[in-house]
Amino acid sequence: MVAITFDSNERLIFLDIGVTSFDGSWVIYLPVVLDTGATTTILPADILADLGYDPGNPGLPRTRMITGSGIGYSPYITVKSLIVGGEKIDNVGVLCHDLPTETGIDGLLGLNFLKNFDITIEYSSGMLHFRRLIS
Amino acid sequence: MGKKVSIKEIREKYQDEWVLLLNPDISPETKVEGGEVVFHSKDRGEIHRRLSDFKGNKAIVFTGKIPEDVGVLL
Repeated sequence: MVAITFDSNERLIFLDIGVTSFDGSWVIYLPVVLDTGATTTILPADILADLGYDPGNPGLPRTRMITGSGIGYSPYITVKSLIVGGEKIDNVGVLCHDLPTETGIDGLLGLNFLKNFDITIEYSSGMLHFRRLIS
Repeated sequence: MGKKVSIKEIREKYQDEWVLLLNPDISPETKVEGGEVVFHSKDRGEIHRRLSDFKGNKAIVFTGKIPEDVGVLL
């Protein structure tokens, strides 16, 4: 079981996550929001490109993305691993999409990552508890 | 290696900015606790464009908050 503190006074649940480079040798840590309303984790193309992935590859599968403001298509990439609360999950699919800068985040941590855990959100203590379901 | 700065100092010094850190200090719960400040800007795009200038572990931090009068639907 992993416990992560969050600021329960904020209106969203902000987390830092790590994204491993394509060659697995280094990591970028960036701010995201925990989003149980997102099927898939979302990360910006610029960051994925710096990590050695190729989000501009026209051969990548494109996923239809239904948002509050409409429907779009975004490239889908599998990253080597995502790290949250010290827990690393390998081979996580992400959509390459830039969220509005006003959100103050670089991405969304969606259900395709979260489904690896039982998660409890405790607003009274500002704690998230992650219990890993698979090793 | 540049001077490391704590996240508290970063939030005080670079208010409402995006900050790029090299060799970040990361807590066991994967929180960014500090690092070497190599670039900062009000513009997130500038931070993204400068990423490739720095090799090794990096972290991006935003020191601002969503305005109270703004609702977010993600």
